[in-house]
Amino acid sequence: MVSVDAESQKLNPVTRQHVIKALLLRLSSMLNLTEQHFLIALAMVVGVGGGASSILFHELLQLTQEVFFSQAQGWIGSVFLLPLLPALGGLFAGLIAVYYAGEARGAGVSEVIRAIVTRRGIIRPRVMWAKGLASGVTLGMGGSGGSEGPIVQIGAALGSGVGQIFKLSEANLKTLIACGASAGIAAIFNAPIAGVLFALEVILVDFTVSAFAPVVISAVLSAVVVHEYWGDLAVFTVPDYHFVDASELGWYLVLAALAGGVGVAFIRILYGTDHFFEHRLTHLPIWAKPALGGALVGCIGLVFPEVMGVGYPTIGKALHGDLLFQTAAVFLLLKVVTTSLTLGSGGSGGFFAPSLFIGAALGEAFGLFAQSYLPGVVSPPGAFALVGMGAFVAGTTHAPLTATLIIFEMTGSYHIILPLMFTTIVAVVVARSIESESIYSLKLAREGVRLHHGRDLSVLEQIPVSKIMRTEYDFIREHTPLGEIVSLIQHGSLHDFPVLNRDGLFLGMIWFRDIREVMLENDMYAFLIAEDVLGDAPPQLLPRSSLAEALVQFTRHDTDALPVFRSPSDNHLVGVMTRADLMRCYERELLLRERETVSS
Amino acid sequence: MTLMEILSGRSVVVGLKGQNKREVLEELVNSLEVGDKITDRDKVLDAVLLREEIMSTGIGHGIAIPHGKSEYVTELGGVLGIKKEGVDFDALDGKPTYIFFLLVSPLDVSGPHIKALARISRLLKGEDFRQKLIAAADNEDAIAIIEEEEKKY
Repeated sequence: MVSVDAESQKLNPVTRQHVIKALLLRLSSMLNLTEQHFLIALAMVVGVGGGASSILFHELLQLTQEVFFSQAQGWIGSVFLLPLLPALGGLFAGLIAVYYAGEARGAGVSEVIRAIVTRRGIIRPRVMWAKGLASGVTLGMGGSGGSEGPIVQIGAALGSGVGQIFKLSEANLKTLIACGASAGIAAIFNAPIAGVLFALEVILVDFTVSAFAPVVISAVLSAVVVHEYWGDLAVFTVPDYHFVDASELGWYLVLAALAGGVGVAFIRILYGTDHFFEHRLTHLPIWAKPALGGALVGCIGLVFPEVMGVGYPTIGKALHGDLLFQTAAVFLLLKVVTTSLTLGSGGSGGFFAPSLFIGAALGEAFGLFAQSYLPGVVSPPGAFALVGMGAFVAGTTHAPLTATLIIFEMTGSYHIILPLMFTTIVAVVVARSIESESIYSLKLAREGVRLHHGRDLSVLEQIPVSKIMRTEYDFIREHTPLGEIVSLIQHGSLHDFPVLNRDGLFLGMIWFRDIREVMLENDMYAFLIAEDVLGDAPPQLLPRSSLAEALVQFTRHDTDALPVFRSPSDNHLVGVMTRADLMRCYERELLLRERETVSS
Repeated sequence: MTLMEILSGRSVVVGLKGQNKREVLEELVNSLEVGDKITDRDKVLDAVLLREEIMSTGIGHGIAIPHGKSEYVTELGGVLGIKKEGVDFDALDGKPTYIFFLLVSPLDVSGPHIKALARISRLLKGEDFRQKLIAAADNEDAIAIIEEEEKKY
């Protein structure tokens, strides 16, 4: 062992990494450890690291707020110079984004999703420092935004970085990113369950078991680290609200629809502002735009300081029903504006806390109105604020499970869970029917990344099916006995086959998922024929259809192969396209794109 | 999916009168009610006969599972027929056939059709069960025997 150590001292870093990896591999085979165990061990590292970075981030934010915001008013002499602070914060974030890491611009979650979908899970480690500093200073100096976006991005960068050190596969890299994200949410909101759901529902868009264990472990350890440091405190202390009366569910329904609608309006105003800053203010250097946004926020803050920063104290008041109707309504509108100005101009921060703020204000305003004017309302306005908060978050993020659980964990209110679950789901349905993209995916969609079950459709939109379809393929005749079909499946590379009649015309497909049922029944081999097991009609793919269309069809029909026809409503087959070929092509196009981005 | 579900809990004919393949098939199809799961008896019979022409569904051991898909079928359905004396059904083993399980499906249904075929074939594998069915005294008796057998699975 000594000689190995001495030798590795002389090796350059790259080969040293290999030595470490080889040693770890040998160790893991000695202990009979699988890849999954190794991944869980790394998830523990990411969890602890995620928890620790959340604490650091939070302290940085607090410190900035303390030094600049609370004390600086004394230094700068006049309260009318207040707008200078968020402007300075914006300037700082702008400079970091332009000269150090562009990923630090705006909200973090979209960037994490982009890394998963289009960059094979690679996030540069420098994103951690860049995002932490940019967001900490933006928010600490009064910019309006949340801390979850940055902390999710920091955790994800940590996860990806740890994975890159050990040269993990793409799938495992993505799992570690999800671990980082769940650790971040678990820490910053003291909400480990919501952290797990967020990672699965928003980041991975995947609820399979393989990712579950590492993500849970990372969330738990992160929450444990935070408990050690801060103690186990709910973010908001609220009265124990109850679901009082079944008839109130109707009013909750109205609130949910309202939250969904206002959520879409918020998303549109936010990205409208983003568009304005990016395309209308072209004479302004990019690094100066967040400063302008910050200054405008500061001007609003002169009159309404509550709508600056993260805004938790105001959310707390709304949850107790302590805001007046007019105040809640004004805060709601102004928070939409300040958040759009901060994040749309390129400042750094998350959407989550502003969504909580707007939702709570909307819910409380609705509750106050309901109490005075609507029949049958007995719940206090605070209960509506709490439920409205969940509904609004769900309406903007399209993540109902995360929204429900996060409200539950942040407030510890279980007795109100029924209307909470109900309104979050309804809000998502309403929001989706108006705008199909969420606050996260719309940012990517506007930049040409179209998400479909965690993949980027735009990569595939330009490529026609004819480019990768197989023109030589196995097919089955209508009267072929089942026995022959089974042996074709066992020996061929495909599991789904087209069936042709004697004239070579397409009759249908035999789907593996259907005949799986009878494959073990030897008795049936002799008496069933292809015609008997012919499957449902497949979608009409044409050679000129795009691969994006094919991907949607593959997901919808859950098959391995699809037939390609000569023309619409024509049963002449020209080829077969396989899901495996499609995925290979997708990976290749992603690599090519990445190379183009690097070389340009 | 259980046999009783496929048979809607009642479509059993003990003591078939038909003397040959065609007559037996006609009798089975006739016991499907028009308007229930099929819209035209003759068309459904044609589909079943056409399928028999391609390859007999007499799979031996005294069993036949005639089946077909047709646009005149609205919902998957079946009829079980029994003839103690046996009929020549062009079975694989050349022996007479005693148990006939007719299965008809709409054109666009594949998964349930295959599942039902597998279920029927699996249950009829039991030698005991087959003998009991052939010996059934009447329709109610046959239904009781099937219900008893299905409890085991």
